Amino acid sequence: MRAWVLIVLLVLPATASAFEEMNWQGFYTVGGTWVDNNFADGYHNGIGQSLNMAEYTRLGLNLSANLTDDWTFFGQILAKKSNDDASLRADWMYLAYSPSDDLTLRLGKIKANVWFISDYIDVGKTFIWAAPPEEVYDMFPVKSYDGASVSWQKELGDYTLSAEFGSGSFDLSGDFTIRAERFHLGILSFGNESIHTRLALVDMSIENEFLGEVINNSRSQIATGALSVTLGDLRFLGEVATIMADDTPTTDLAAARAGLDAATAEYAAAQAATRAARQAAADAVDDPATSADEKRLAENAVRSAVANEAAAARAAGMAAMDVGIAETRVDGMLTWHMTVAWTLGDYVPYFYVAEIDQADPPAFFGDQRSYALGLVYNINFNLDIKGEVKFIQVLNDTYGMFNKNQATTALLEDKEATKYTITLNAVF
Amino acid sequence: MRARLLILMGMMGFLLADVGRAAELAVIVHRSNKDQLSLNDVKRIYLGKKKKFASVGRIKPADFTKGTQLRATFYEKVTGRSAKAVDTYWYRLVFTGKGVPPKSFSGSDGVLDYVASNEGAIGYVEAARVKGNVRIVLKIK
Repeated sequence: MRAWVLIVLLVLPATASAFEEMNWQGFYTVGGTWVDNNFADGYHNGIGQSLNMAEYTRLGLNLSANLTDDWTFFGQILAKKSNDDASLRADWMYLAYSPSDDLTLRLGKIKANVWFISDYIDVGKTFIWAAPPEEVYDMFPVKSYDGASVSWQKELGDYTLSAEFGSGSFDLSGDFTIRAERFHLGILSFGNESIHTRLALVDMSIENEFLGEVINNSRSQIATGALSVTLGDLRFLGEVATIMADDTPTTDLAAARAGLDAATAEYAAAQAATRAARQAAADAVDDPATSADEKRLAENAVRSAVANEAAAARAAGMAAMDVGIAETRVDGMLTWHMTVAWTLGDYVPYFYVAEIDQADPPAFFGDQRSYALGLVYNINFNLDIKGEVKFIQVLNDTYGMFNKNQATTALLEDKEATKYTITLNAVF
Repeated sequence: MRARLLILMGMMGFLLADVGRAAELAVIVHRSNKDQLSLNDVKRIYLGKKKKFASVGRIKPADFTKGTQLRATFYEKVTGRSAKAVDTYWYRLVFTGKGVPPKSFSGSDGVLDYVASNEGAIGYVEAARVKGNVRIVLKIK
């Protein structure tokens, strides 16, 4: 059991009066999304041509309680259906100590607010997009870390200056696991109700694992900057991020290439063996002197050769993937979006352009640019509905973010797709 | 004719005065709370930025349930924002673990009782309804 769970379990019951002041609220989003192009076949978060109801559907329960004058408990539990199953987890859960209005220390499972809306990204009612741009927000999908943070803020007239520093570790498990034993996050923000700027810096040592096998270790840095401007009913938000990584693949590139050469040679030999077996079988059929047993043996030899060839093809494919993993680099990735929204009573139309661009493709993600047009309708103060149409263009001879065959197929001929998303968002 | 006009003007004056009285809000705290508060202090409290009173410690704000007219008037006058904008603001604080929202009550009696029985409490009601063990710390017209 993690230390933060023990701390929470020990401290919370000790202050029974806290339960009298406990506040709980919740949120849910029900949404569906699909992409129209057959190149976009479920590679990215399972989004493909058939309706995906899992990606944006979630239910959250939030608890908070003032334990003493200085200590507060905060927790949020998130239930989410993944593409294979459903999960229930503590989104974040920590104790906050505030000796003054300006200073807060947190201990536990803390939100990793790398992006402008990272801290409330699951609460669809609180932001304008039907779905935040994948090009930006999926580049660092980690939402929380186990550790401690300190935040400070100072009001300067109408403006607020704030700074936060956090340190800890995280383990984002899945088919593709990202694990960090050392994670540091610094955030600086300044602004008022009309203009808000924000800078976040991450430094971490991570281990990437694919299907249970460690594929590389890297020291990574992420820098994000954001500017939000509100002019009456018009709102602009721009975000840019760069990701740098000094990768050390656990798969040696030279060994992987040698393995691929050997596997390719074995595949060629297996193909030749199949051809020879087929010829022998054909000759046996043509020769009237061949007995029925000999013909049966020749047919069995063909079946065996075909099976060997298929196995050799799979081995060559795996060897090619090993080379791809060994060549993977994330350094020099640049990602950004610009969003404009206009409030017209209960309606909020919005538009954004987003892009992910890597210095040296092919790399971990494909490059793509998208243009999205969306509409939010605020049904009431705790319910809204959002619809979005997003046009995607694959860039720079890569495969974009939605093509499942990135490593193994030829370049795409059709480099455009349209993604449709609709969500119903509520808080309660 | 002149008498009717005077009566009409008198009635209008009475109605306007009544509207003015109805619109006046009183910000109240517990009797033991010695703090003096400005309009900006009240704004910071209801936006979760000011968390402690110098005299009685942790602030416990009381509010009305969403959708009430008194609440909309209070936030318009104190924060310059609509109640809907304040709700969205609080959703962001609550769902990011950055604040505990004010405790909600459906009527003035609930707010008055809560403030009267909690040292750190603060609330607002129509000025004409103030009663009990509370102190008016600010009036908002």
